[in-house]
Amino acid sequence: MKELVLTVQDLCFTYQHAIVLKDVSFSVEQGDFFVVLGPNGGGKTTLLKLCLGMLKPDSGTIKVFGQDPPNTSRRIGYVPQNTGFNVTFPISALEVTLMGRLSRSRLGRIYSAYDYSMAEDALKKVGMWQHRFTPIGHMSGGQRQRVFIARALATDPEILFMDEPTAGVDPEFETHIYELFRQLNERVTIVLITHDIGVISQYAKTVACVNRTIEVHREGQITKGMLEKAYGCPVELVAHGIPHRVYPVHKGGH
Amino acid sequence: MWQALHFEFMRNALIAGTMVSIICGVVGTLVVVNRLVFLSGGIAHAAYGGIGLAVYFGFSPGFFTAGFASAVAFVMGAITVKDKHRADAAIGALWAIGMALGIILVSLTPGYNVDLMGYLFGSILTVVKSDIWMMIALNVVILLVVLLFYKEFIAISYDEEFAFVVGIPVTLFYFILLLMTSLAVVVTIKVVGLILVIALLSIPPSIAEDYTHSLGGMMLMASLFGIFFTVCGLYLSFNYNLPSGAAIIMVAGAAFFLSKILRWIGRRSVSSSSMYDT
Repeated sequence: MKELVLTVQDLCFTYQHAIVLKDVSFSVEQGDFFVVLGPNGGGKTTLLKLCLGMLKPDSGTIKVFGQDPPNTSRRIGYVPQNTGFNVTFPISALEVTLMGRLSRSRLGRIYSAYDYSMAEDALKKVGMWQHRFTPIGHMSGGQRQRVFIARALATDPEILFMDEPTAGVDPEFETHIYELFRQLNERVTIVLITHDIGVISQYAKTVACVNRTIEVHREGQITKGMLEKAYGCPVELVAHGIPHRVYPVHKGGH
Repeated sequence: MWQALHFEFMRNALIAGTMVSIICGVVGTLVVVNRLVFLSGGIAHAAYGGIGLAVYFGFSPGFFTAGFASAVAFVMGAITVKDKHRADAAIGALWAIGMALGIILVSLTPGYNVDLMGYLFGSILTVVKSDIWMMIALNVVILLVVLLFYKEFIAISYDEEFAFVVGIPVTLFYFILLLMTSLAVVVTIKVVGLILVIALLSIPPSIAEDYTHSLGGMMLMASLFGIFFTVCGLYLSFNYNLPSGAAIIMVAGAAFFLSKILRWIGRRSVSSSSMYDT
């Protein structure tokens, strides 16, 4: 069996007296392409933030590389959900990408030539090198999202956490970026939140449905039953690149 | 203006104005991009409680006020660090409580007749050499801290969550920023008074923000704007016998609106000309 890079046991998390996650246990092997899906408000982003140490669980344990999350940061890459925050901030694409090279052990030091070359490489991979001096506020949402992906790549992580990384990017680039993730996955473990069923069928090695609890499917296959359980309503499943559609008539949805 | 420079108090005022403008340009930029303008106003007003305590117990107001303002800033920081967007009510309360404490203590002090107006509206013309050395020392410390941790300050200001994930001690830097802000506020009180501090911290960076796209550029430009505003304000104050602090802020305020109006006109003419292009 491969090394476990992430293990979560009996995790519970409540937010303002509402149970967000209950008795969540799962593990992610080294080299996995672990896709998390589930309805809005089902706790996907919360689960990711718990794994990154941004939130503290009420009970249960989370170990990343065998350690408590905030202490393992140098080996972790992160692409946040693009919510269009702080878009007026005076910062260029290159400066954002360089943030991926920051770490606790190098506080107060200037960026090295290697840091710059990693940032350049990452920006080229997402096709944003020619926009490196563009202020973040002058970009479209999709371009900003690409820069966030570049920033995570610049970290050169062993595990990459991504929260809907292609939200807002055009379909052509989306295919390109998932091919990039597939290449990256040869040495980097990927944990990815997405609603895109096509992505799951093509790239996922493991699929997890999160809706307060978790259900993990190792085969990377998705069935209609799984989705209906995850989303709490009937879902039409059309695989390979075409997004799924939720049936107009909902019966007994939560 | 030149004959004014024969007076030592005027030379001191110009040096003090320049020092405070640089401090406010650098710290104010961080205050503005971190949306801490209201919190800074709270520190400035609550600092009056420190002045009251110092006067009542007979301490030297300078250091005591700095300590008190930093303590208030840390309390505000502890409240805001959990939930930055819902802390305004607590800041508002501390703002008023500190002020009230100062007013009560000052009124209880027997035989007290320190110039209250000097603290409220500034007294740049009474700045002495020791004040100037304090300002220079603070300037050096703040510039060193910001230069050394420039990229970390960018990271925590732009995307605090990502900074946390890569291992930056976000809370520590937040408190360092609050400490710098409270020290900046205390020295700025000497120049424009506690009521007007918020203007010198926020106006120069807000103008600079429209003309630059880097944090460092914003700090540099805000400092230069601040120096320009204090020199102009002192000139008006000297020639027309106006209160110096208020004169400086009026110049800054006029420049702020002029800049915003010019930009608005500029944008309109750009958008209308591009309409003809296509």
